[in-house]
Amino acid sequence: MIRSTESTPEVTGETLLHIGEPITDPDVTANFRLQMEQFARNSAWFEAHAEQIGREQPGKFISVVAGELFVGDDVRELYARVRAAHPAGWNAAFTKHIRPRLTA
Amino acid sequence: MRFNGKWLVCEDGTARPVVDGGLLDAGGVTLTFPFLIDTGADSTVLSYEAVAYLGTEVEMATGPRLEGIGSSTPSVALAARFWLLNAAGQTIPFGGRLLGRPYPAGDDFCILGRDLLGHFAVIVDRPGGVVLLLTNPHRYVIQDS
Repeated sequence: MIRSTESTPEVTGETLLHIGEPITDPDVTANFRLQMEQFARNSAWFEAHAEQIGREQPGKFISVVAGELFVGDDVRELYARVRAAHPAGWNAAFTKHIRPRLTA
Repeated sequence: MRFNGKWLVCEDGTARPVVDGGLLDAGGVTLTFPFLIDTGADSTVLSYEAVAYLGTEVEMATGPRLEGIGSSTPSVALAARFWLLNAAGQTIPFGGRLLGRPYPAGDDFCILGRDLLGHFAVIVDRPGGVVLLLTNPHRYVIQDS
């Protein structure tokens, strides 16, 4: 649950988030579809290694691209490394902050 | 319209319902993120990783504090756009004034809240392994056995 301390759009009737019409440019759509397919593969790689990553990288930022795991403390620096290593596929990376170890 | 999501198994072994999407920066380049479906969230909230990607190119104002279970955290308010791919393969744009996290949180996701989910019938069926957002012309039917 996340509750805003401001009045919510449901209460104010204000529309803050808009849904647009489908993008019609075929090149843009084809590129985005390809990007989402790459992201699905990166996401699946993360899931297959999630337990190990959680054990070994608590509190870190991780990024997965094309079967390669990047780890860092600063997410902006992580993005820069991923972009340099994968100039063609960096923007389909699966990036996540790994939950810190819970203390009793 | 129908958006297919999935159950994402995270590092703590918990599967969470997400829809994959792409967040657009000021230059129109998309970076992919899983968006957590949170019907308990008032608002859509971008993760710290997403806010950091948008960086200094986007104007950010101080947003309201966000209250979770037993704690509250600050937020930033920003104009942002993201795309989701529907089941027909169409790219659907979403945008507006969104909230974001200015600092990393323990288990950070971009969150789809009720400001977006309110437009859809939301199915998060763990036993069936199904995550769907539905709106016209799609709908669901409940069957007895």
